[in-house]
Amino acid sequence: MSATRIDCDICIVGGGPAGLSAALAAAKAGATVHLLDLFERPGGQYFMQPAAGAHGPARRQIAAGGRLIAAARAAGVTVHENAEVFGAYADPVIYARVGESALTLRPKAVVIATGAHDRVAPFPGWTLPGVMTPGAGQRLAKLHGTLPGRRVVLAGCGPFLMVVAGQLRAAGCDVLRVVEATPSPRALLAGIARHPARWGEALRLLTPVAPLAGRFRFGAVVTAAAGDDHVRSVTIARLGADGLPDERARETIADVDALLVGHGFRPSIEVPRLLGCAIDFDQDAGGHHLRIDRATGATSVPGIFAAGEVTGVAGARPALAAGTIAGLAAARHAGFAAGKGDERALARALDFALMLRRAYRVPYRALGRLPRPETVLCRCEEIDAATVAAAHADGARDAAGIKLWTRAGMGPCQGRGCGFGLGLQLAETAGLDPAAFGANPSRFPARPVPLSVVADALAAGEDGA
Amino acid sequence: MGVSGHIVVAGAGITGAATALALTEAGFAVTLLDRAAAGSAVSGASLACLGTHMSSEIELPQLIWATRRWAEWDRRFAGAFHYRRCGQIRFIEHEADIPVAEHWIALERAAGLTPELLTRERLRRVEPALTGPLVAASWSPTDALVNPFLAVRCLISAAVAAGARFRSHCPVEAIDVAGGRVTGVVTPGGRIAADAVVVTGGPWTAELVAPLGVALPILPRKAQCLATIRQPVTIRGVVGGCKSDHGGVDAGYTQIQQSEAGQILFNTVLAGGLAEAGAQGHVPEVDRRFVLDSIDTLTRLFPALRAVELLRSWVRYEAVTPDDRFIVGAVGPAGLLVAAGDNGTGFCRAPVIGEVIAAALSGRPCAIDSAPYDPGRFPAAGAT
Ligand SMILES: Cc1cc2nc3c(=O)[nH]c(=O)nc-3n(C[C@H](O)[C@H](O)[C@H](O)COP(=O)(O)OP(=O)(O)OC[C@H]3O[C@@H](n4cnc5c(N)ncnc54)[C@H](O)[C@@H]3O)c2cc1C
Ligand SMILES: Cc1cc2nc3c(=O)[nH]c(=O)nc-3n(C[C@H](O)[C@H](O)[C@H](O)COP(=O)(O)OP(=O)(O)OC[C@H]3O[C@@H](n4cnc5c(N)ncnc54)[C@H](O)[C@@H]3O)c2cc1C
Repeated sequence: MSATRIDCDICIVGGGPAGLSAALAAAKAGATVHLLDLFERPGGQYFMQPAAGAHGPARRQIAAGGRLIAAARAAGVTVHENAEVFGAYADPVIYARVGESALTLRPKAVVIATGAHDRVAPFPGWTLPGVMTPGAGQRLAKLHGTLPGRRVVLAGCGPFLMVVAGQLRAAGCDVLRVVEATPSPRALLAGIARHPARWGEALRLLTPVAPLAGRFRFGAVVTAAAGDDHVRSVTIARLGADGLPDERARETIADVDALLVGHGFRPSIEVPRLLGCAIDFDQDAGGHHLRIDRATGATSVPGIFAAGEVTGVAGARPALAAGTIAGLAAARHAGFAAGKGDERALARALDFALMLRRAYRVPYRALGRLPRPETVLCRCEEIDAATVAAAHADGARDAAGIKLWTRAGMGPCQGRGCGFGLGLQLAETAGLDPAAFGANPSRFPARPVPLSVVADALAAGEDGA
Repeated sequence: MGVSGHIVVAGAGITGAATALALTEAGFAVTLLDRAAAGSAVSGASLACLGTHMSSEIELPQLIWATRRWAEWDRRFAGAFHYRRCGQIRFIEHEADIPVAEHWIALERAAGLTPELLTRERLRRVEPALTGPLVAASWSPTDALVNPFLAVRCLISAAVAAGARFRSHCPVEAIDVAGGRVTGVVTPGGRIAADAVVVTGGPWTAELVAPLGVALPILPRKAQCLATIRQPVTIRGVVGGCKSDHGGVDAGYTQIQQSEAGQILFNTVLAGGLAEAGAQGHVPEVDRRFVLDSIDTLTRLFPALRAVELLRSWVRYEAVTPDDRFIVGAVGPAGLLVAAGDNGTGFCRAPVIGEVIAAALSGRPCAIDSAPYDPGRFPAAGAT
């Protein structure tokens, strides 16, 4: 048996901006803090730390993240890398896997900062090799210095596309097209104009993509990818006034070797759902996200706090501010005298995030129409759109029903990847409300883990163990 | 009893599905209702072993009748619910349990069945991956598995094809009674008139009939299960524990099998788990003790599976009665019948339950002795 058991004041799940700032604030308040992150190095998405250190197009971000990590460590935070949290009960107790070993924490309070992941919607050809999410492409470039391809099409919706376009261009990719569903950049530019404090940041975002200006296609979506063993061509179409792709306004982009498509991010709520934390639904905040009290980060479950994207997608700044607030509240819950954090800074950051959210328009209707009957919707179980439609015709009305009828969502990803697409497709073709459609409920374990690790972790968590 | 006309069946799990089919085929006009989707409670989450082996001495004739009916349905519905006769093993960990197994084998053979005791060598051939420290095993080659969700759907489709109506997402909120007779049910979509109502609501049956002065001794109990990610074919049949007088796993219950999709499904229950009343709609997380016991048993029996990844757990509620048997038949006001109390082995028994209800409402003799399920054995149930 190989298990480590740690009794501590506070356990932080996730080492991105939110988790790191929570850890730092709680440790400064005097609490013993353990932070778990499933990657090789903490930093999360925004502060992702390449092995080679801070250079390349994202060096400012990398360096800022490095400083935050160093500050947290200096304040006494213990960081557990490669620690994948797979279980949680409201005692509270947190179960993680580190390689083939188990790590069990019995803290007094927990901060959930598990972030978000790319949100994808299926379309014909989306399972071809060479088609990936912008996040995956960015990761290759940022962490491993490899390019997702030489001739790349980026598509989807949101400011993240610009970030990745700039980074891939700097890394040496030929970015053929940036296909943005929002009709024009006007709302974005007007919004930025109203926030002078963010002009510097906006400039740093826009400058690297300025040379690509002619390659942008606004108000369009990718309708299909084609190729024999790898993506070779990509078809895009303009969105009509009805929000659907106008088949007459099509363009086919040839000689493509990578297509990166994503429509924002989806909060990673699986671990807190095991704890029973309540959720809300807002498609523009990424779909289902944790319900919290903004003043403390408290979730519906006593002793469980949350911050960052898992509480609704808003970006790195709100994540940093909310992390501090949640870290301090967790420290108070664990019995330490701690302040409350700067709620006004959080409000300002959220205000900007809300402006960004409103400046973009995710083409939900169009995305729900893209799959053809033979298009796979659930990759793990290889369930196509025709099968899902048949289940609906036979009486399946929600994610749970579709799963029972078709097995969609029963595979290793447990619906994390396909849930968004399934909901859109049924909203559009069958009129189901995506909120009521729900999601495959998270159940223990939140991620697949070897039986031996589960057993070791649970045994180590027992009273008196 | 002898009722004619329209019958509402409340609850579309396997019990309700089999009952609706039997009633429709007996000539009744039937409306089957479920508060959610068909089979979405315990039935769709079942391991659905249809077996006669080492289950119940008292109910052996009923089990034989039920498993034959399942085999007939498989032929009639052309494999619609993936019936596979994979056999069932009951593993024996202590020499002292061999006589227990021999007792069951003898009484089942006397009833015309073909179970046998396997030596360790023969066991290797029947279930090669079962390499744990066993002294022997019993083996019942005729026991079978079905896909539980497809089975519920198939029986409902057959009932609908024969004229029944089915409505999902339609909870029965109350049962109307006038002049000592059931007159219909109340749903959010309105009242549905009925000459008789059969409540097949699983653990929530007692709640629905309580306002009519019927006190059923049925309690909800957690039924839990674990699944690994897909594996190549490793386990051929159903693997359970031999009944035993020992403590530990031997006193509890174990079931291990591999799904059609390749996932290893397994559960070991050593202790209780009665739920708080009114837990419907709230599904709790799996018990940690249960997870530990289940993994321990699985990996002791199949040591090669230790490194396999656990994918998911689920929890449902089954309906428990004081003597582990269903309560099936008329209770309380005229025209009210119940069929619940599955005690965790109700999938197999569903055809029998349908037959008992259809016979009772038609006023014809039952094809099978219904005495083990008589509500009259619990006087407070107000049997009529
Ligand atoms: C793919 C992707 C790329 C992004 N790139 C950018 C970008 O370039 N610029 C930008 O401004 N914003 C980017 N974002 C937005 C980003 O979400 C925020 O900027 C910011 O990183 C949010 O901080 P966070 O702490 O809430 O979450 P994250 O930074 O996502 O951190 C969450 C952390 O939790 C860990 N985690 C999750 N689940 C578990 C678990 N079960 N066990 C252990 N650890 C777990 C993750 O590994 C991760 O390190 C990106 C988002 C995504 C999803
Ligand atoms: C992991 C596991 C393994 C199992 N293995 C086996 C096995 O190998 N062999 C075996 O025979 N059995 C097995 N069982 C048990 C078997 O699944 C159950 O005994 C059987 O499914 C019970 O069926 P039911 O129709 O009585 O109950 P349920 O499936 O609970 O059906 C009751 C239905 O009534 C509905 N309902 C409730 N209240 C109302 C209302 N007011 N109005 C309308 N509808 C209502 C519910 O929504 C539900 O669909 C297993 C169970 C589990 C969980």
